[in-house]
Amino acid sequence: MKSPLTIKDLVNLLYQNREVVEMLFGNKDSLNKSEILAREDMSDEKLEKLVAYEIIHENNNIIGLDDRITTFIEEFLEIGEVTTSFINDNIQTLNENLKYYRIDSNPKFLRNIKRSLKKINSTTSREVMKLHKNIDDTYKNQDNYVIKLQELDKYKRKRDDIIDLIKESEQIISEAQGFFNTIIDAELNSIVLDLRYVLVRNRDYLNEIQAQIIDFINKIQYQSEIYKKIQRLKELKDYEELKYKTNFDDVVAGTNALMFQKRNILRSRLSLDFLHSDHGYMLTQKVAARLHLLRNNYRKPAGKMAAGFDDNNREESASLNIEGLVNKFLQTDTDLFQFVLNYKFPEKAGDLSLEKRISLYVGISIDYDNKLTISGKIGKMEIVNEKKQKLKVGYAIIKPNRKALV
Amino acid sequence: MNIPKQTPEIFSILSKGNFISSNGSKGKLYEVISYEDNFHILKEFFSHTGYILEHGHNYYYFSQLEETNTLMEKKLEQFAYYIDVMDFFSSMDTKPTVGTRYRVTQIAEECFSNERLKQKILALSRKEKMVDKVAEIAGDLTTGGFFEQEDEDTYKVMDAIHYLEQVISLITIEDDGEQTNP
Repeated sequence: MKSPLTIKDLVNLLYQNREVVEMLFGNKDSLNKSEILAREDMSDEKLEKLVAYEIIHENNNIIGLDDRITTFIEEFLEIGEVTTSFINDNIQTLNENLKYYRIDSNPKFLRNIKRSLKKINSTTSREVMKLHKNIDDTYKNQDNYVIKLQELDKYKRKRDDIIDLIKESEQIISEAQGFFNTIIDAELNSIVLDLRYVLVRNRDYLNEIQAQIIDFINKIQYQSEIYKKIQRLKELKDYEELKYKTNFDDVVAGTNALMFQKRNILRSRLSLDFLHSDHGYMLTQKVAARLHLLRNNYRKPAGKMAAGFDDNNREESASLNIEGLVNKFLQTDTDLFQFVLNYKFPEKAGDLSLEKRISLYVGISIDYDNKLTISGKIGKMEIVNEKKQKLKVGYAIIKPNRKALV
Repeated sequence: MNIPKQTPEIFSILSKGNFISSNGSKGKLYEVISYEDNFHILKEFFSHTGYILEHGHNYYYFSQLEETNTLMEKKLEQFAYYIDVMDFFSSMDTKPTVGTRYRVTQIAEECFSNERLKQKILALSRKEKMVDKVAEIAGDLTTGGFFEQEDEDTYKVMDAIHYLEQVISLITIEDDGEQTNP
């Protein structure tokens, strides 16, 4: 019943069943037969055909993809396990063909040499890439420590193997360089050059990978020790032995990171200058609103004052100018004390108190003494002060100096 | 000496006993401190405040030398609690390594299916619901600066977890044949 497969048949067969192949490839642990048959695109007949052509295997109702197909896909997509055998195979082929070509310069052997060189180039790069991908993946995703460590260790050995193969390839190429030089073939030259470059680059890459593996292994070992230790400490703690069997107290006493200290929250006072600012006003307003203190909120802050608003005030204080007062006094015939005491100041200046008038009197008598005549006589009068006490006051009688006026 | 303009922000975080980790939301500040000579400049600057700027593997923190007895007790108590919490997290399938993301609901589920974890978390939190228990201890580690909350359900392990690991590795256990120290 089974006729030999041609390439066309095989590709067709795979294409027709591409969905199932993809599913089976994704589920490497194999699927139940019923699961496959439940698919719309699958029937008993089709399944039988696939089994007959050994695309898939059936065993105890478990269906899995044939290993050859799996390997093919993995290799082509550069996924899956790292193997050094491909590189190794190519090196062997290269060696053989070199030998043959030396004996018989048949172009067929040269073609094989070129192909092997190209293949060494591509397989080496591919395996190195896979190695890196797998290491990273193992470190990040493998949950079990023991397995993780062992896997990384395995990759470490693989990495050594690849390095050895690279060295071997380099050795072969450099030994054959003289021989290559005798062959006049531009393509061969460029292939060899390219391969040399790729080998060096991959060697550098592998050195980096080596450092990374060691780093990962150390980290895992350190960390798994830490976790074990935590659990051990917890055990001791539960038995109340932490204090006696460990130096827990000393170690903790020795840690002075702030996190174990009392958290002193820094408190600062509000700046008064800030409260006077517009922003400060807004803030106080907000707080007041929250505390319902805004019963008087119809009192808005005063608007900005017009420039020069206080000019009038300045004039007023100027109107108390003593010069004018003295000039007026000089026109009169009374004595200075009575004049100052009874003088009606303009309304703007307001009502001056007795004390102010007295100090004005004293001030004038000192500042304008050249315009005044101090007679030496003393006048007396009674004054009622604010507390309604009667006071007798004596004062020097000062008259205008008529001579000074002239 | 040019003090970085982020210094007040750095100070306010560190002075509260928090860490600045490279893989947290304050990663920018971590970079500022690590930039050129900034670490030494800031160390000198902060030394006048009585705090010592320290750095661990990818994180910064403040230390202070003053010690009192009550503080000592508090420290011991707090660290004993961290042992419990770390014990819980290291007993899980996913270990608390830097960058690990934990989802509260996921942990809670694991607790339901794993009796050992369940016992541990029962001892750790008095909250009623499992999710709340998990959220509580994750929150405690977040307050300590060892975790950071990314969204309602997700916590991320910070670089500062190295600090706890460091302290734990400093503890020596008397040899009783069960365990050797790393």
